[in-house]
Amino acid sequence: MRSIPRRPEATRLGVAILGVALATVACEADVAAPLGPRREVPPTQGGVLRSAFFTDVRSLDAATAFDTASAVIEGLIYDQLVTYDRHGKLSPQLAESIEVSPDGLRYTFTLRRGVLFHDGAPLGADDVKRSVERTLHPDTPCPVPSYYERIVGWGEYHEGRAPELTGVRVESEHVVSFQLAQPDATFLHVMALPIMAPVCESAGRTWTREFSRRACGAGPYRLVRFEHGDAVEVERHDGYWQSGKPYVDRIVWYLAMQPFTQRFKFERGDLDYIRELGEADSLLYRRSAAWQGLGEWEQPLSTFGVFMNAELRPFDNRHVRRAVAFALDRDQLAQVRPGHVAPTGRMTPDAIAPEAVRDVGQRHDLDRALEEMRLAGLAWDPATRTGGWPEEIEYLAILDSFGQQAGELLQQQLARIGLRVRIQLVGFPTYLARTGRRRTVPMGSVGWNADYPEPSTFFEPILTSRAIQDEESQNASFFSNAELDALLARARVTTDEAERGRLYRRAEEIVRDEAPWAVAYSYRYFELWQPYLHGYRPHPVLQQDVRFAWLDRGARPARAGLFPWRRRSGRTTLALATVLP
Amino acid sequence: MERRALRRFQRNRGAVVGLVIVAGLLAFAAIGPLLAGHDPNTSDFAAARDGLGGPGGPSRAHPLGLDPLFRDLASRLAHGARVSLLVGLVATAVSVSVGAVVGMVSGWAADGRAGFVDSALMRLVDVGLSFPYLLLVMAIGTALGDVTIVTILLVLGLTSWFGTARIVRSKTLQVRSLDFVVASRALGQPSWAVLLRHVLPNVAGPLIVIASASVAQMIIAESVLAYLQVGLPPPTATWGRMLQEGQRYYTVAPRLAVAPGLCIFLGVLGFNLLGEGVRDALDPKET
Repeated sequence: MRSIPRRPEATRLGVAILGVALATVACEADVAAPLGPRREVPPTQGGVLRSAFFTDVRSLDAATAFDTASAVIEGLIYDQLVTYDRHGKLSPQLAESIEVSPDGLRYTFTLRRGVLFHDGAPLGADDVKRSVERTLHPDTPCPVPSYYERIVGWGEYHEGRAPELTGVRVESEHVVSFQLAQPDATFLHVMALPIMAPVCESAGRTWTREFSRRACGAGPYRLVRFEHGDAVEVERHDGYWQSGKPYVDRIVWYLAMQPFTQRFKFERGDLDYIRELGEADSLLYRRSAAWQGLGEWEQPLSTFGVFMNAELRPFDNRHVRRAVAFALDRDQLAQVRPGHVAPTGRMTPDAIAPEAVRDVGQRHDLDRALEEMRLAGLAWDPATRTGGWPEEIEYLAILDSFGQQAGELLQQQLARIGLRVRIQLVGFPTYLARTGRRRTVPMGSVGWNADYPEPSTFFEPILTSRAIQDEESQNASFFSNAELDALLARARVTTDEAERGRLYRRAEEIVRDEAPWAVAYSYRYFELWQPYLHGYRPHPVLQQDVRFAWLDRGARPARAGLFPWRRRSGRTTLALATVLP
Repeated sequence: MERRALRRFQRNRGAVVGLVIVAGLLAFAAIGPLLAGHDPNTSDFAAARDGLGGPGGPSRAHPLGLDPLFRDLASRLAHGARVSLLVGLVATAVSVSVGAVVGMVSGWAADGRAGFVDSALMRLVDVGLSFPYLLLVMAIGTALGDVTIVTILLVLGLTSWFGTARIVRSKTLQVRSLDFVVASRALGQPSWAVLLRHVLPNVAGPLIVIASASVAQMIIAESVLAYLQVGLPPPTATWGRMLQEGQRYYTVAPRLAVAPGLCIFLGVLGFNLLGEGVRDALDPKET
C-alpha cells in the first residue's frame, strides 16, 4: 500500500480536483462546429457511412424482424415490390408496373428485368412466391400474418392445411399476381413492408434462426457482418438494379451505443449521422447557427403509452385499466423532453389521423380515475392512503429509454389512485421476448411506429385478437374485442374514405373506453448530419433512409482530434489546463 | 498501546482528513434527508426549466436544483448517501466476517490432520480471486433480475471476502505458533476457544484496516451496478444511478453528474484515507 502523500502533494492534488470540479460546473454549454465545409457536390461513389442505435438489433430476417431498429437495416438489405417515394406516396420498386383489377381483387406485378440478388441469382416471379410463402408459413413466427389474410388460400396455407399459397400465382417468369378474397384498401401498403421482400434461395423455403446472420436480398447493400451488441456492416451490392447506385461503399451501424456516447462520437467524426440525440443536446444543436440546414425534425409517426395485460390481474378488470388511463398526466411527460414528446390520448398520430378521429382520445382526470377504482372494487382513499390494489405491479421498460423515465413518473401518478408500480429494466430484445409471451408481463411501456401511413397500422398489428400469439405476440395487452376486430376488418375492405373515417373513429372510442393502452405521447427525433453527408433528409414514411446518401470525401476531415471542444461554434470557458499540477 | 496508536492517528493529517470526510458523509446520510425536506421520488413540476432547456437550476426551494424528472437533487443525494453508506458498511461487515472465519479456520487447519480443509478453502479463494470482481458482481446482479438492497448487500459481501481470507490465514499461521497459543492448546483448550480468545484479537488490527478500505470498494461497486442499471431499481436514489441519469445533461446542467460523482469520490477518498491512517496507527513498522 503506498504511503500518504506529503503535505505539498496532497494540497496540489486537492486543488487540482477542486479546480476540475469548478471548471466543469463553469463550463458553458456548447456544441462543436460541423466537420468540414458544406459543398454542393454531385453523387459520387466511395466512403464509409457510420451511424448508431442505442438498442440492439434482434434479427435481420425479413420474415420476422419487425422492430424499428431492424427495419432500418432491412431497408438497406432488401428491396420490395413497392415502396414509398420522397413524398410518402406508394411507388413501384422491384415491380416495374402494378395493375389492379377494377374490382380490387387482383394485383398483378410485372417485375423489372435484370434484378440480381446478393448471391448473383436473378429475381423471378417464383422467387416472389417462394419468399411470400416462407414468410406466411405456419412455422414462421411472422409478427403480422393477418395483414395478408385476404390473399386467397391464406387460411389453408397459414394453418398448414395446404402446401402452397394458391392466391399467389406465377403468371410468367417476371409476372406474379395476388388474388384477394376481398378488396383491401391497405394491400399495397402491406406489400411495401420488408416482410414481403424477396429473399435469396439460401433462406430456404421455411424459416430458420440462422438466416438472420446471413440475410440476403436484392437491396442496394449486402450484409457483411452482424454482431449482436456490436455492429451491423453492409457493403454496396455491385449488381444492384439501379445503375450507379448506391453511392457509399459501406455502411456501419453500431449497436447498443448510448446517446451520450453517440453525441461525442459524432462530434469527433466517428459517426456521420445521428438521430438519437438527448433532448438537451438536440436543443443546443437546434439553437446553433453553425448547424442550420444540417438537421431536421423527423415526421412523428409513432404512438407511445402504457400497455396493460388484460389477461392478468388487476388489468383483467377494465375499470382498473380506465383508472390508469385517467390517472396518467400526459402534460407532465411532455415537460421532461420538450420538443420531442407531444402528449396525445389517441392511437393515430396527427400526421395520418383522419379528421373524424381528431377529437377522440383519453384524458387526464384524477377524480374519474378514483371513481374507476371504486367501480373496480379497489377504492382508494387519498387522505388515509388506504385501499387500492394490495400488491406491487411489475412495469417493464427498456433500459435507458424514455419509457423508463415515463415509468418513474407513472409510479408517482398511479400511487395517487392506489396502484404501486415496481419498475423492471431490460434490454430491447428481452423486452420484446417478455412482452410477447402470454401471461408474463402485467404492465409496461409500449410504443408503435407506423408500418405505413394508414390508421389501420395502429390497430391491427397490436390490438386485435389475430395479433395475439402465445409467443412473439405483438398484442402485448392480449386484448381481444370482437367489435374492434369486426370494424377493423370492415375498414380494410372499405374504399369510401368517409366510411373509413367513421370506422376508425369507433376504433379510437373502443381503445379510449376499454383502455388496453393508456395512450400517452408521440415522440420525434431531431436528426443531424455532418456537412459532408449528402442526399439525406428525413423520409416522411421510412425511418433513417440513408440508402442513396453519398459522402463528400474531400470535405471530410481525417479525424476531429481528441479535443473537439477546441472547434466549438461558440466561446468556451473550459479552464482545465490552468489547474493541472 | 492503544493510546500510542491514537496519537499516531491524530498526528497523521491524511487520516484526520479521511475521518472528517467520513464523519461528514455519515452526518449527511443521517440528517441530510431531514434537512432537505423534499421526498426524493416526488417531482415538482411547478418549478421551471432553465434557460438552456435543462432541469431547473438552484433556487430557494431547491438549493441544488432539480434532476431530469423535476425531483429535488439535494434530497436524492442525501438519500443516495444512505444507500451507498449502508451498502458499503454492511457489505463490508459481511465480507470481513466471512473472510475472517474462513481465514482463521483455514490457517488453523493447515499442516494438521485437517489440512485438506485448508487446501480446499484456499483453492476456493484462488478461484474467487481469479474472477474479475466487478464483472462477477454485474453478472450476478443481472441474473438475479429482481434486486433489493438485501440482495445487493449479499452479492457484494459474498463475492469480496477472498482477499481477506488469505490475509487472515497468513496472520493465523503466525499467531498459532506463538508461545501463549501453544500453551493454551497444551492445556487442553478447545480450538474454537483458542481461535476466539487468542487468534481473533491478534488479527483484529489487519481486519480493521481491510474493513475501512473495503468500504470504499463497496461504494464503487454499488455505484457501478447502479450506473449500469443492474442495481436497485428506479426510482431509488443512488449516486451511481444519479450519475447515469445526469450524464445526458452534462452539457447544459453538469451539476447533475458532478454532484453524485463528487459524492462517490469523497466517499472513496474518505474511507481510503481513513483506512491508511488506521493501518499506519496500528502497525507503523509496515509503513
